Amino acid sequence: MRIHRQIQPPPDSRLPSFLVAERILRGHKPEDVTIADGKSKDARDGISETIAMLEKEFNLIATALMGTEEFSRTATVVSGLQMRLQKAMEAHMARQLARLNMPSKDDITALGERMMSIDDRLIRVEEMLERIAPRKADSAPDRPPRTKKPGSSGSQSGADPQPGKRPAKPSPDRPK
Amino acid sequence: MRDIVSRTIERNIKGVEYFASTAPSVGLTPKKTIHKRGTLNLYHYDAQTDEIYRVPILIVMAITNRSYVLDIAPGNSLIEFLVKRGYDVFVIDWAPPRPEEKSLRLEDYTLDFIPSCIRRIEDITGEKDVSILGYCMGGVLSVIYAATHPDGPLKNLVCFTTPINWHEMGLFTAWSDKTHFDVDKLVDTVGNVPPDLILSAFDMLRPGDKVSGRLKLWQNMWNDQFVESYRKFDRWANETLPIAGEYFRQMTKELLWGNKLYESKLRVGGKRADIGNIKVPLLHVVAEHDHIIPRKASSPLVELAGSEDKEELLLKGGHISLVAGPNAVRRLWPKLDEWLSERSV
Repeated sequence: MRIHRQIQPPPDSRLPSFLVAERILRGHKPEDVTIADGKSKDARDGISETIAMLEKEFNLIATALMGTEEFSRTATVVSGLQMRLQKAMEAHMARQLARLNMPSKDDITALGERMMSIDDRLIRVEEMLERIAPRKADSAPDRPPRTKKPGSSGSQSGADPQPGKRPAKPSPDRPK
Repeated sequence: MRDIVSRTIERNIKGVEYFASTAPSVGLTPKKTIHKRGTLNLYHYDAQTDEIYRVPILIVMAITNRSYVLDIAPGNSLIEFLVKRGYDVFVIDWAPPRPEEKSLRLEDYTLDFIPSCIRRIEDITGEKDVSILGYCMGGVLSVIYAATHPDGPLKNLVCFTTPINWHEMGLFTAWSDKTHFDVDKLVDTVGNVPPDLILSAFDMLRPGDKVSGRLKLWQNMWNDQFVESYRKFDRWANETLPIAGEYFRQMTKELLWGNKLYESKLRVGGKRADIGNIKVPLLHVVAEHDHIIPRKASSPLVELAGSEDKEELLLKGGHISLVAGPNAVRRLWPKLDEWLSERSV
């Protein structure tokens, strides 16, 4: 068993960025603001880092709070109420639809269930037919041969996505 | 200062464009839907090389999310990368379960849907072998399939951030504590668990992210590339799918409360899902800063698997940036290609 860890060392510790932002807010010119390790720092970077730091702190406090039993209990009660409200709305809507002689969600669901059972039967029939007369592998003429070996390049249409090249894009973990 | 002023103007102009424009295009790598059954869609991606590896790959997506996170944009797509590296790629993408599909259970996903896709792949390729790649809960489904089908068909198993020890799921474990969480009442009331509930649970894991994400978007509104990428990932995160009610009930009782997958006590359709039954080459890739699946929850997979050829790879990044985005391009993809290529002939 191999366990690999491919983690880079943590970045150098630097002067807290909120000080950079604070100096800018006090009227220093962004280009004059320099952090302790001697590297000049753009004002916008300082603000971004301050946001990131505040976000981290807030997340820490909030998750500690949300991990408590009291929070879980309250959240369960609130979501239970929401669900019951939703259910009551559905029942009300079903009554209105019945008055208008239109199918309700339950009617559509029942219809869907019947369709699903027909679908299942068709699949079983298809599988039985498959056993009686097995399909040949769909060897479409334009499908390439399955002969590729590791390291062989094999010509490609279009440019290869280049691992190692870093596109300037936001972290996907962020914008949830 | 001139730079700041010009970016502020651009930000305001593009800010108006942002709200007026349509949803960004995603999942653009050419493909065909070759199998469709209710919530299940099986895609086959068009080959883009003169020759391909013998063993096809089946990617199993988590049932709560669309698969296009793996094909978010040309040049930033794991699927496109694999296709261009010469793999024959198939993907299971889940559509929102319909109300009548509330009865779907783990058995349906692992003993019916996945095997039916493998049979279809065999029909198309003529190959008896297949490599399965599961992401997050798709990894759980893949592990259960592998554990309940020790004789295959399965050539290799690759999992990304797959939870095994569900008692170490952090806030999820706390929120679903059986002393106050009544899963029966929830499922009996709603049928399928609505996506809002799932999305808010994910959001609550990092409650500050939403606000800071918006601030970063505003700050970078002048940058077209940033905005486009932000919108694509935002669209994906907001397109969370409902969960089939019975599946959710089973997941809560058997996995979250009973921790039966970790303790090798999980029975699916009469078969015991023992991770020790997995003997095929196994690669488990986990993220150092995964806020959804903590390390303690995912690390037992490699320890418990019965495979001789098994490897855990811990990479820098988060739950999503592990598989998509600039970090994935540099870190995960080349490693995955290296591991799979020598086992796909």
